[in-house]
Amino acid sequence: MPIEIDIQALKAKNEDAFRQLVNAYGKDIYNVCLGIIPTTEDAEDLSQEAFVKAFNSIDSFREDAQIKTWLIRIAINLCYDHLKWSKRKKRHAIMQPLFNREDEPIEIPSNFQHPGIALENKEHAKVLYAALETLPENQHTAFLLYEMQGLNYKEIAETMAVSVSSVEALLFRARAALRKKLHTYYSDYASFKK
Amino acid sequence: METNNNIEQDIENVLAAAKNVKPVDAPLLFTEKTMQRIRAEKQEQGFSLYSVLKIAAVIVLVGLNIYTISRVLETPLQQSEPVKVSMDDLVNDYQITDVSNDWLNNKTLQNEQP
Repeated sequence: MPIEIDIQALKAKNEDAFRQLVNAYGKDIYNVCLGIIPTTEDAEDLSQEAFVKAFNSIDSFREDAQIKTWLIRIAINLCYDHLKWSKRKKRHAIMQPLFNREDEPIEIPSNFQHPGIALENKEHAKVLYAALETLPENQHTAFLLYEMQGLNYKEIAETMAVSVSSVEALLFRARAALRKKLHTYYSDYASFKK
Repeated sequence: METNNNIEQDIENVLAAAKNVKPVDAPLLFTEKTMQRIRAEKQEQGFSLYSVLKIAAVIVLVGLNIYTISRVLETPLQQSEPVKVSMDDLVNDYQITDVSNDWLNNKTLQNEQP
């Protein structure tokens, strides 16, 4: 059931209205951020930043969309910016622009701390997150929102500003690309073990 | 063949991990911290507006000064008539007036009288 948020009060930069917005969607936005950046501190910081950005650009919010999908879009963009920034910081970052994101090998993150993942699933989840990072952003977003956040096609289409059929196509391609990447990863892993 | 089966199983497990991610609650004091950041942002906007006003005031003052100086420089100086000083004028101005030396003579005479 959608939560009633007074958009006019938000546009008037009313603090109580923003508090209501944070209370209503803070959890969703935090989980979306954790879906891209599985580090609790970074995810918290980015989700708070998403609300600050929403506060600054509330005038540009068109009321024909849902405020939730608008907030998710802001959060996702911030997370991808953060991801790019942290990759640039790594060693050999100067070589990265030479490759497409799709050609990148799977690199298992060292600081993986997602509180929503049970210990027995942690190793598989680490590989999944690392593989997702190598997908094109639109495929990554579609997969994240559908498989991990449980949004429906219509909501994903609204968040990504694409058609529902595009979402279906993106999901199909994301799954196929993931399978291919994971196959390469586990084949290399198996040959390394031998 | 067994390796291939294992790989397929691993892939399925990884893909299934996506479904097993449980939503978590927002961290403690999330709303308060976010509102603090929003308030700080609001204050910063107010501060920046104040700074812009100060800069605008300085620009206006400097502009006024420049305008005044340029106006002063553009205005031609009023030409005063050249003063011709002749020797006669000088003499007239500084000449010995009609002061007679009588008082001096008188004084001498008085001193000579017994």
